[in-house]
Amino acid sequence: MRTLSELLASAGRAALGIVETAGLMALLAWRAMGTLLRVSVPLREILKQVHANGATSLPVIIIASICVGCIVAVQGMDYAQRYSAPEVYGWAAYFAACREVGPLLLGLSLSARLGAQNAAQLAALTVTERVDAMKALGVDTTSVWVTPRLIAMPIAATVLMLWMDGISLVSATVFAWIAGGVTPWTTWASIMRYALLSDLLLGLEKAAVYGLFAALTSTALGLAARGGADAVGTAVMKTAVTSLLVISAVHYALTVWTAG
Amino acid sequence: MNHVSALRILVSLVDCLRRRDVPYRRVLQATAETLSGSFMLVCAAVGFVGASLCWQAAWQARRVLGDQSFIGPEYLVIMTNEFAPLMVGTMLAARGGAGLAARLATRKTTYQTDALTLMGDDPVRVFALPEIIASVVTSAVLAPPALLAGEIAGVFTMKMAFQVEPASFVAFDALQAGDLWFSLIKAVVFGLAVSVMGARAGLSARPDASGVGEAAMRGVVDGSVAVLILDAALDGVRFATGFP
Repeated sequence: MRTLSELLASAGRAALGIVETAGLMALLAWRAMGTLLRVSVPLREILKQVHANGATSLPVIIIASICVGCIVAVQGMDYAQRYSAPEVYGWAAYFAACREVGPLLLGLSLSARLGAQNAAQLAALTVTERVDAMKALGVDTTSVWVTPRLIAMPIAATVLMLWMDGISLVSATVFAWIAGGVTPWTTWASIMRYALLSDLLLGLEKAAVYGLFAALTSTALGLAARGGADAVGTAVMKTAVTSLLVISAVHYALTVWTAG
Repeated sequence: MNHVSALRILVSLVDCLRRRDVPYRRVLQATAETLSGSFMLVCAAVGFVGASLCWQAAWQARRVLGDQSFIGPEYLVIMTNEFAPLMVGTMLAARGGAGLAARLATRKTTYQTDALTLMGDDPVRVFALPEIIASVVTSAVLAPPALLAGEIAGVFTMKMAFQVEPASFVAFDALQAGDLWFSLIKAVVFGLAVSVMGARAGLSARPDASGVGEAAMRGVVDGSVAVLILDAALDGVRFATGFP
Protein backbone atom coordinates (compact mmCIF):
# COMPACT_ATOMS: atom_id res chain seq x y z
CA MET A 1 0.00 0.00 0.00
CA ARG A 2 2.82 2.33 0.94
CA THR A 3 4.70 1.48 -2.28
CA LEU A 4 1.57 2.24 -4.32
CA SER A 5 1.09 5.62 -2.67
CA GLU A 6 4.82 6.39 -3.17
CA LEU A 7 4.50 5.45 -6.84
CA LEU A 8 1.45 7.66 -7.25
CA ALA A 9 3.19 10.50 -5.43
CA SER A 10 6.26 10.21 -7.66
CA ALA A 11 4.06 10.12 -10.80
CA GLY A 12 2.26 13.22 -9.51
CA ARG A 13 5.56 14.98 -8.84
CA ALA A 14 6.78 14.09 -12.35
CA ALA A 15 3.53 15.41 -13.89
CA LEU A 16 3.80 18.62 -11.87
CA GLY A 17 7.45 19.00 -12.93
CA ILE A 18 6.53 18.61 -16.62
CA VAL A 19 3.70 21.16 -16.36
CA GLU A 20 5.90 23.58 -14.38
CA THR A 21 8.77 23.37 -16.89
CA ALA A 22 6.41 23.72 -19.86
CA GLY A 23 4.84 26.76 -18.16
CA LEU A 24 8.25 28.32 -17.47
CA MET A 25 9.31 27.79 -21.10
CA ALA A 26 6.05 29.27 -22.45
CA LEU A 27 6.32 32.30 -20.14
CA LEU A 28 9.91 32.87 -21.16
CA ALA A 29 9.08 32.67 -24.88
CA TRP A 30 6.18 35.09 -24.35
CA ARG A 31 8.39 37.59 -22.47
CA ALA A 32 11.15 37.30 -25.08
CA MET A 33 8.66 38.00 -27.88
CA GLY A 34 7.39 40.99 -25.91
CA THR A 35 10.95 42.30 -25.56
CA LEU A 36 11.55 41.89 -29.28
CA LEU A 37 8.46 43.97 -30.05
CA ARG A 38 9.12 46.65 -27.44
CA VAL A 39 12.87 47.05 -27.42
CA SER A 40 15.35 47.13 -30.28
CA VAL A 41 17.04 43.79 -30.96
CA PRO A 42 20.27 43.61 -28.90
CA LEU A 43 22.42 42.80 -31.95
CA ARG A 44 25.79 43.05 -30.20
CA GLU A 45 24.69 40.65 -27.44
CA ILE A 46 23.17 38.25 -29.98
CA LEU A 47 26.41 38.18 -31.98
CA LYS A 48 28.36 37.63 -28.76
CA GLN A 49 26.11 34.72 -27.87
CA VAL A 50 26.31 33.19 -31.37
CA HIS A 51 30.10 33.31 -31.09
CA ALA A 52 30.09 32.01 -27.51
CA ASN A 53 27.72 29.16 -28.36
CA GLY A 54 29.01 28.34 -31.83
CA ALA A 55 32.78 28.71 -31.57
CA THR A 56 33.11 27.06 -28.17
CA SER A 57 30.98 24.10 -29.29
CA LEU A 58 32.88 23.51 -32.52
CA PRO A 59 35.45 21.02 -31.11
CA VAL A 60 32.65 18.92 -29.58
CA ILE A 61 30.65 19.06 -32.80
CA ILE A 62 33.67 18.09 -34.93
CA ILE A 63 34.28 15.00 -32.78
CA ALA A 64 30.55 14.18 -32.76
CA SER A 65 30.41 14.61 -36.58
CA ILE A 66 33.28 12.19 -37.19
CA CYS A 67 31.51 9.63 -34.96
CA VAL A 68 28.15 10.24 -36.69
CA GLY A 69 29.85 9.64 -40.06
CA CYS A 70 31.30 6.33 -38.83
CA ILE A 71 27.97 5.17 -37.31
CA VAL A 72 26.07 6.08 -40.48
CA ALA A 73 28.75 4.35 -42.62
CA VAL A 74 28.57 1.08 -40.64
CA GLN A 75 24.77 0.93 -40.83
CA GLY A 76 24.66 2.08 -44.47
CA MET A 77 27.31 -0.40 -45.65
CA ASP A 78 25.56 -3.21 -43.83
CA TYR A 79 22.36 -2.58 -45.80
CA ALA A 80 24.21 -1.90 -49.06
CA GLN A 81 26.02 -5.25 -48.76
CA ARG A 82 22.94 -7.24 -47.69
CA TYR A 83 20.76 -5.88 -50.50
CA SER A 84 23.67 -5.86 -53.02
CA ALA A 85 23.13 -2.17 -53.77
CA PRO A 86 26.45 -0.32 -53.24
CA GLU A 87 25.26 2.44 -55.59
CA VAL A 88 22.78 3.73 -53.00
CA TYR A 89 25.27 3.77 -50.09
CA GLY A 90 26.20 7.43 -50.66
CA TRP A 91 22.58 8.55 -50.73
CA ALA A 92 21.75 6.52 -47.59
CA ALA A 93 24.69 8.11 -45.75
CA TYR A 94 23.64 11.58 -46.95
CA PHE A 95 19.99 11.05 -45.96
CA ALA A 96 20.85 9.73 -42.50
CA ALA A 97 23.62 12.24 -41.77
CA CYS A 98 21.93 15.37 -43.11
CA ARG A 99 18.24 14.75 -42.47
CA GLU A 100 17.62 12.14 -39.76
CA VAL A 101 20.35 10.76 -37.47
CA GLY A 102 22.68 13.76 -37.90
CA PRO A 103 20.20 16.43 -36.73
CA LEU A 104 19.03 14.18 -33.87
CA LEU A 105 22.57 13.56 -32.61
CA LEU A 106 23.40 17.25 -33.07
CA GLY A 107 20.32 18.09 -31.00
CA LEU A 108 21.41 15.68 -28.27
CA SER A 109 24.97 17.07 -28.33
CA LEU A 110 23.62 20.63 -28.29
CA SER A 111 21.39 19.94 -25.31
CA ALA A 112 24.48 18.65 -23.52
CA ARG A 113 26.93 21.36 -24.62
CA LEU A 114 24.93 24.55 -25.13
CA GLY A 115 22.02 23.74 -22.82
CA ALA A 116 24.23 22.75 -19.90
CA GLN A 117 26.58 25.70 -20.46
CA ASN A 118 23.67 28.15 -20.63
CA ALA A 119 21.98 26.70 -17.55
CA ALA A 120 25.26 26.74 -15.60
CA GLN A 121 25.88 30.42 -16.42
CA LEU A 122 22.35 31.56 -15.61
CA ALA A 123 22.01 29.43 -12.48
CA ALA A 124 25.34 30.79 -11.15
CA LEU A 125 24.06 34.33 -11.78
CA THR A 126 20.76 33.54 -10.05
CA VAL A 127 22.11 31.85 -6.90
CA THR A 128 24.68 34.63 -6.38
CA GLU A 129 21.70 37.08 -6.53
CA ARG A 130 23.12 39.01 -9.47
CA VAL A 131 19.82 38.62 -11.37
CA ASP A 132 17.92 40.10 -8.40
CA ALA A 133 20.46 42.95 -8.21
CA MET A 134 19.94 43.78 -11.89
CA LYS A 135 16.16 43.74 -11.41
CA ALA A 136 16.50 46.06 -8.37
CA LEU A 137 18.47 48.49 -10.58
CA GLY A 138 15.55 48.49 -13.01
CA VAL A 139 17.30 46.52 -15.76
CA ASP A 140 15.05 44.38 -17.97
CA THR A 141 16.71 41.00 -17.42
CA THR A 142 14.69 39.36 -20.20
CA SER A 143 16.20 41.61 -22.87
CA VAL A 144 19.70 41.18 -21.40
CA TRP A 145 19.82 37.43 -20.70
CA VAL A 146 16.86 35.71 -22.33
CA THR A 147 16.11 37.19 -25.76
CA PRO A 148 19.71 37.15 -27.10
CA ARG A 149 20.06 33.49 -26.10
CA LEU A 150 16.75 32.48 -27.69
CA ILE A 151 17.82 34.09 -30.96
CA ALA A 152 21.50 33.12 -30.86
CA MET A 153 21.19 29.41 -30.09
CA PRO A 154 19.07 28.49 -33.17
CA ILE A 155 21.49 30.47 -35.36
CA ALA A 156 24.51 28.73 -33.78
CA ALA A 157 22.76 25.35 -34.12
CA THR A 158 22.13 25.89 -37.84
CA VAL A 159 25.76 26.86 -38.48
CA LEU A 160 26.98 23.88 -36.45
CA MET A 161 24.65 21.59 -38.43
CA LEU A 162 26.30 22.75 -41.66
CA TRP A 163 29.68 21.81 -40.16
CA MET A 164 28.27 18.48 -39.07
CA ASP A 165 26.85 17.76 -42.56
CA GLY A 166 30.22 18.33 -44.22
CA ILE A 167 32.38 16.52 -41.68
CA SER A 168 30.09 13.53 -41.23
CA LEU A 169 29.84 12.98 -45.00
CA VAL A 170 33.64 13.12 -45.36
CA SER A 171 33.97 10.77 -42.38
CA ALA A 172 31.37 8.34 -43.83
CA THR A 173 33.21 8.42 -47.19
CA VAL A 174 36.61 7.72 -45.65
CA PHE A 175 35.29 4.99 -43.32
CA ALA A 176 33.47 3.23 -46.19
CA TRP A 177 36.62 3.39 -48.31
CA ILE A 178 38.93 1.99 -45.63
CA ALA A 179 36.63 -0.55 -43.98
CA GLY A 180 34.25 -1.53 -46.77
CA GLY A 181 36.18 -0.87 -49.98
CA VAL A 182 33.52 1.55 -51.28
CA THR A 183 35.52 4.14 -53.24
CA PRO A 184 34.93 7.86 -52.62
CA TRP A 185 33.96 8.14 -56.29
CA THR A 186 31.10 5.60 -55.85
CA THR A 187 29.90 7.32 -52.66
CA TRP A 188 29.86 10.82 -54.12
CA ALA A 189 28.41 9.71 -57.47
CA SER A 190 25.52 8.24 -55.46
CA ILE A 191 25.11 11.47 -53.49
CA MET A 192 25.17 13.60 -56.65
CA ARG A 193 22.64 11.37 -58.36
CA TYR A 194 20.06 10.73 -55.64
CA ALA A 195 20.47 13.39 -52.93
CA LEU A 196 17.92 16.19 -52.66
CA LEU A 197 18.71 19.71 -51.50
CA SER A 198 15.40 19.73 -49.62
CA ASP A 199 16.71 16.98 -47.29
CA LEU A 200 19.72 19.14 -46.39
CA LEU A 201 17.51 22.19 -45.77
CA LEU A 202 15.12 20.12 -43.65
CA GLY A 203 18.06 18.98 -41.52
CA LEU A 204 19.11 22.61 -41.01
CA GLU A 205 15.56 23.59 -40.03
CA LYS A 206 15.45 20.72 -37.53
CA ALA A 207 18.76 21.88 -36.03
CA ALA A 208 17.38 25.42 -35.60
CA VAL A 209 14.26 24.08 -33.85
CA TYR A 210 16.37 21.88 -31.53
CA GLY A 211 18.56 24.92 -30.79
CA LEU A 212 15.48 26.96 -29.87
CA PHE A 213 14.14 24.27 -27.53
CA ALA A 214 17.56 23.74 -25.95
CA ALA A 215 17.71 27.52 -25.35
CA LEU A 216 14.19 27.67 -23.90
CA THR A 217 14.74 24.72 -21.57
CA SER A 218 18.16 25.79 -20.33
CA THR A 219 17.22 29.45 -19.84
CA ALA A 220 13.99 28.58 -17.99
CA LEU A 221 15.64 26.06 -15.67
CA GLY A 222 18.81 28.13 -15.18
CA LEU A 223 16.83 31.18 -14.07
CA ALA A 224 14.59 29.02 -11.85
CA ALA A 225 17.58 27.76 -9.78
CA ARG A 226 17.26 28.49 -6.04
CA GLY A 227 19.68 27.79 -3.20
CA GLY A 228 23.45 27.47 -2.93
CA ALA A 229 26.22 25.96 -5.04
CA ASP A 230 24.46 22.58 -5.27
CA ALA A 231 21.45 24.30 -6.92
CA VAL A 232 23.67 25.19 -9.89
CA GLY A 233 24.61 21.54 -10.40
CA THR A 234 20.99 20.45 -10.02
CA ALA A 235 19.89 23.06 -12.59
CA VAL A 236 22.47 21.77 -15.09
CA MET A 237 21.41 18.17 -14.55
CA LYS A 238 17.70 19.01 -14.85
CA THR A 239 18.43 21.00 -18.01
CA ALA A 240 20.40 18.19 -19.64
CA VAL A 241 17.69 15.61 -18.87
CA THR A 242 14.74 17.85 -19.80
CA SER A 243 16.38 19.06 -23.06
CA LEU A 244 17.12 15.47 -24.08
CA LEU A 245 13.50 14.47 -23.51
CA VAL A 246 12.13 17.59 -25.18
CA ILE A 247 14.41 17.16 -28.21
CA SER A 248 13.46 13.46 -28.54
CA ALA A 249 9.76 14.44 -28.46
CA VAL A 250 10.26 17.34 -30.90
CA HIS A 251 12.22 15.00 -33.20
CA TYR A 252 9.21 12.67 -33.30
CA ALA A 253 6.81 15.55 -33.97
CA LEU A 254 9.02 16.94 -36.76
CA THR A 255 9.41 13.49 -38.35
CA VAL A 256 5.63 12.98 -38.43
CA TRP A 257 5.06 16.51 -39.70
CA THR A 258 7.72 16.50 -42.42
CA ALA A 259 7.12 12.91 -43.57
CA GLY A 260 3.51 13.92 -44.19
CA MET B 1 43.40 17.33 -5.39
CA ASN B 2 43.04 19.85 -8.24
CA HIS B 3 42.82 17.54 -11.21
CA VAL B 4 41.90 13.87 -11.28
CA SER B 5 42.41 11.98 -14.53
CA ALA B 6 40.07 9.34 -15.92
CA LEU B 7 42.97 6.87 -15.87
CA ARG B 8 43.54 7.44 -12.14
CA ILE B 9 39.83 6.74 -11.49
CA LEU B 10 39.94 3.58 -13.60
CA VAL B 11 43.08 2.36 -11.81
CA SER B 12 41.40 2.96 -8.42
CA LEU B 13 38.33 1.07 -9.62
CA VAL B 14 40.37 -1.94 -10.77
CA ASP B 15 42.39 -1.87 -7.56
CA CYS B 16 39.27 -1.86 -5.37
CA LEU B 17 37.67 -4.65 -7.38
CA ARG B 18 40.89 -6.70 -7.19
CA ARG B 19 41.05 -6.28 -3.41
CA ARG B 20 37.26 -6.86 -3.18
CA ASP B 21 37.06 -3.59 -1.30
CA VAL B 22 33.62 -2.69 -2.60
CA PRO B 23 31.07 -0.90 -0.37
CA TYR B 24 28.14 -3.11 -1.44
CA ARG B 25 25.52 -1.29 0.63
CA ARG B 26 26.46 2.09 -0.90
CA VAL B 27 26.56 0.55 -4.40
CA LEU B 28 23.06 -0.92 -3.91
CA GLN B 29 21.75 2.39 -2.61
CA ALA B 30 23.26 4.34 -5.55
CA THR B 31 21.96 1.75 -8.05
CA ALA B 32 18.44 2.01 -6.65
CA GLU B 33 18.58 5.82 -6.79
CA THR B 34 19.93 5.95 -10.36
CA LEU B 35 17.55 3.26 -11.60
CA SER B 36 14.43 4.82 -10.11
CA GLY B 37 15.40 8.24 -11.46
CA SER B 38 16.41 7.09 -14.95
CA PHE B 39 13.99 4.29 -15.81
CA MET B 40 11.04 6.34 -17.11
CA LEU B 41 13.31 8.95 -18.72
CA VAL B 42 15.25 6.35 -20.71
CA CYS B 43 12.09 4.50 -21.76
CA ALA B 44 10.41 7.76 -22.87
CA ALA B 45 13.46 8.97 -24.83
CA VAL B 46 13.98 5.59 -26.55
CA GLY B 47 10.25 5.45 -27.24
CA PHE B 48 10.24 8.83 -29.02
CA VAL B 49 13.38 8.08 -31.03
CA GLY B 50 12.09 4.59 -31.93
CA ALA B 51 8.70 5.92 -33.01
CA SER B 52 10.26 8.58 -35.27
CA LEU B 53 12.72 6.06 -36.75
CA CYS B 54 9.87 3.64 -37.46
CA TRP B 55 7.68 6.34 -38.97
CA GLN B 56 10.45 7.57 -41.29
CA ALA B 57 11.41 4.03 -42.38
CA ALA B 58 7.79 2.97 -43.00
CA TRP B 59 6.98 6.15 -44.88
CA GLN B 60 10.05 5.84 -47.13
CA ALA B 61 9.40 2.13 -47.70
CA ARG B 62 5.77 2.78 -48.69
CA ARG B 63 6.74 5.69 -50.95
CA VAL B 64 9.69 4.04 -52.73
CA LEU B 65 9.02 0.30 -52.59
CA GLY B 66 5.34 -0.03 -51.70
CA ASP B 67 6.32 -2.78 -49.24
CA GLN B 68 6.65 -2.42 -45.46
CA SER B 69 7.02 -6.07 -44.52
CA PHE B 70 10.80 -5.84 -43.95
CA ILE B 71 10.57 -2.88 -41.52
CA GLY B 72 9.83 -4.98 -38.41
CA PRO B 73 12.97 -7.17 -38.45
CA GLU B 74 15.29 -4.36 -39.63
CA TYR B 75 13.91 -1.94 -37.03
CA LEU B 76 14.44 -4.42 -34.21
CA VAL B 77 18.02 -5.12 -35.28
CA ILE B 78 18.98 -1.44 -35.60
CA MET B 79 17.30 -0.57 -32.29
CA THR B 80 19.18 -3.40 -30.57
CA ASN B 81 22.56 -2.65 -32.09
CA GLU B 82 22.44 1.13 -32.23
CA PHE B 83 19.70 3.30 -30.84
CA ALA B 84 18.65 1.60 -27.58
CA PRO B 85 22.19 1.49 -26.09
CA LEU B 86 23.02 4.93 -27.55
CA MET B 87 20.00 6.54 -25.88
CA VAL B 88 20.69 4.70 -22.60
CA GLY B 89 24.25 6.08 -22.67
CA THR B 90 23.20 9.61 -23.60
CA MET B 91 20.46 9.72 -20.98
CA LEU B 92 22.81 8.36 -18.31
CA ALA B 93 25.37 11.02 -19.30
CA ALA B 94 22.73 13.70 -18.78
CA ARG B 95 21.29 12.39 -15.55
CA GLY B 96 23.94 10.22 -13.95
CA GLY B 97 27.08 11.93 -15.29
CA ALA B 98 25.91 15.47 -14.53
CA GLY B 99 24.44 14.44 -11.18
CA LEU B 100 27.62 12.66 -10.09
CA ALA B 101 29.79 15.59 -11.22
CA ALA B 102 27.56 18.07 -9.37
CA ARG B 103 27.50 15.98 -6.16
CA LEU B 104 31.27 15.53 -6.14
CA ALA B 105 31.88 19.20 -6.95
CA THR B 106 29.54 20.21 -4.11
CA ARG B 107 31.54 17.97 -1.76
CA LYS B 108 34.67 19.84 -2.91
CA THR B 109 32.95 23.18 -2.30
CA THR B 110 32.10 22.13 1.25
CA TYR B 111 35.67 20.79 1.77
CA GLN B 112 34.51 17.21 2.38
CA THR B 113 37.08 15.84 -0.07
CA ASP B 114 39.88 17.80 1.62
CA ALA B 115 38.77 16.53 5.03
CA LEU B 116 38.78 12.95 3.78
CA THR B 117 42.26 13.36 2.27
CA LEU B 118 43.53 14.81 5.59
CA MET B 119 42.20 11.73 7.38
CA GLY B 120 44.27 9.59 5.00
CA ASP B 121 41.42 8.23 2.90
CA ASP B 122 40.90 8.51 -0.84
CA PRO B 123 37.90 10.58 -2.08
CA VAL B 124 37.90 8.64 -5.35
CA ARG B 125 37.40 5.36 -3.47
CA VAL B 126 34.89 6.67 -0.96
CA PHE B 127 32.76 9.05 -3.03
CA ALA B 128 33.16 8.08 -6.69
CA LEU B 129 33.63 4.31 -6.90
CA PRO B 130 30.23 3.22 -5.51
CA GLU B 131 28.53 5.53 -8.01
CA ILE B 132 30.65 4.26 -10.92
CA ILE B 133 29.83 0.63 -10.14
CA ALA B 134 26.17 1.62 -9.70
CA SER B 135 26.20 3.33 -13.11
CA VAL B 136 27.58 0.21 -14.80
CA VAL B 137 24.95 -2.00 -13.12
CA THR B 138 22.17 0.49 -13.96
CA SER B 139 23.11 0.66 -17.63
CA ALA B 140 23.10 -3.13 -17.90
CA VAL B 141 19.71 -3.34 -16.16
CA LEU B 142 18.24 -0.50 -18.26
CA ALA B 143 19.28 -1.88 -21.68
CA PRO B 144 16.55 -4.59 -22.03
CA PRO B 145 13.60 -2.37 -20.92
CA ALA B 146 14.87 0.42 -23.21
CA LEU B 147 14.84 -2.00 -26.14
CA LEU B 148 11.35 -3.15 -25.16
CA ALA B 149 10.14 0.46 -24.94
CA GLY B 150 11.50 1.10 -28.45
CA GLU B 151 9.78 -2.01 -29.79
CA ILE B 152 6.45 -1.07 -28.16
CA ALA B 153 6.73 2.46 -29.62
CA GLY B 154 7.38 0.89 -33.04
CA VAL B 155 4.37 -1.43 -32.72
CA PHE B 156 2.09 1.49 -31.79
CA THR B 157 3.41 3.70 -34.60
CA MET B 158 2.98 1.02 -37.24
CA LYS B 159 -0.48 0.07 -36.04
CA MET B 160 -1.83 3.61 -35.60
CA ALA B 161 -0.20 5.31 -38.60
CA PHE B 162 0.27 2.54 -41.16
CA GLN B 163 -2.30 -0.12 -40.09
CA VAL B 164 0.41 -2.79 -39.82
CA GLU B 165 -0.62 -5.52 -37.38
CA PRO B 166 1.71 -6.15 -34.40
CA ALA B 167 1.94 -9.83 -35.32
CA SER B 168 3.53 -9.01 -38.68
CA PHE B 169 5.77 -6.27 -37.23
CA VAL B 170 7.28 -7.98 -34.20
CA ALA B 171 10.06 -10.27 -35.40
CA PHE B 172 12.20 -11.39 -32.47
CA ASP B 173 13.57 -14.22 -34.61
CA ALA B 174 15.48 -11.59 -36.64
CA LEU B 175 17.72 -11.04 -33.61
CA GLN B 176 20.78 -13.16 -33.06
CA ALA B 177 22.42 -13.79 -29.71
CA GLY B 178 25.36 -11.65 -30.91
CA ASP B 179 23.05 -8.62 -31.34
CA LEU B 180 21.82 -8.88 -27.75
CA TRP B 181 25.35 -9.31 -26.41
CA PHE B 182 26.56 -6.37 -28.49
CA SER B 183 23.76 -4.17 -27.14
CA LEU B 184 24.52 -5.18 -23.56
CA ILE B 185 28.28 -4.66 -23.99
CA LYS B 186 27.66 -1.21 -25.46
CA ALA B 187 25.34 -0.22 -22.60
CA VAL B 188 27.83 -1.39 -19.96
CA VAL B 189 30.76 0.40 -21.66
CA PHE B 190 28.68 3.59 -21.92
CA GLY B 191 27.64 3.33 -18.26
CA LEU B 192 31.29 3.04 -17.23
CA ALA B 193 32.40 5.90 -19.50
CA VAL B 194 29.76 8.43 -18.43
CA SER B 195 30.31 7.79 -14.74
CA VAL B 196 34.12 8.01 -15.03
CA MET B 197 33.75 11.27 -16.97
CA GLY B 198 31.29 12.59 -14.37
CA ALA B 199 33.61 11.65 -11.50
CA ARG B 200 36.59 13.24 -13.26
CA ALA B 201 34.67 16.49 -13.83
CA GLY B 202 33.37 16.60 -10.25
CA LEU B 203 36.66 15.82 -8.53
CA SER B 204 38.54 18.34 -10.71
CA ALA B 205 36.04 21.18 -10.07
CA ARG B 206 36.78 24.64 -8.67
CA PRO B 207 35.27 24.88 -5.16
CA ASP B 208 32.61 27.58 -5.76
CA ALA B 209 29.10 27.94 -7.22
CA SER B 210 30.22 28.49 -10.81
CA GLY B 211 32.72 25.62 -10.42
CA VAL B 212 29.84 23.26 -9.56
CA GLY B 213 27.94 24.40 -12.66
CA GLU B 214 31.00 23.99 -14.88
CA ALA B 215 31.69 20.54 -13.44
CA ALA B 216 28.11 19.39 -14.11
CA MET B 217 28.37 20.78 -17.64
CA ARG B 218 31.70 19.03 -18.22
CA GLY B 219 30.17 15.83 -16.86
CA VAL B 220 27.36 15.92 -19.44
CA VAL B 221 29.50 17.06 -22.37
CA ASP B 222 32.43 14.69 -21.79
CA GLY B 223 30.03 11.83 -21.07
CA SER B 224 28.00 12.42 -24.26
CA VAL B 225 31.12 12.76 -26.42
CA ALA B 226 32.63 9.63 -24.86
CA VAL B 227 29.41 7.73 -25.65
CA LEU B 228 29.52 8.82 -29.31
CA ILE B 229 33.22 7.98 -29.70
CA LEU B 230 32.83 4.57 -28.05
CA ASP B 231 29.69 3.86 -30.09
CA ALA B 232 31.52 4.54 -33.37
CA ALA B 233 34.56 2.54 -32.19
CA LEU B 234 32.49 -0.48 -31.11
CA ASP B 235 30.51 -0.37 -34.39
CA GLY B 236 33.79 -0.28 -36.30
CA VAL B 237 35.22 -3.22 -34.34
CA ARG B 238 32.08 -5.28 -34.92
CA PHE B 239 32.00 -4.41 -38.63
CA ALA B 240 35.66 -5.37 -39.04
CA THR B 241 35.74 -8.52 -36.90
CA GLY B 242 32.12 -9.69 -36.79
CA PHE B 243 32.41 -10.10 -33.00
CA PRO B 244 30.17 -10.66 -31.10
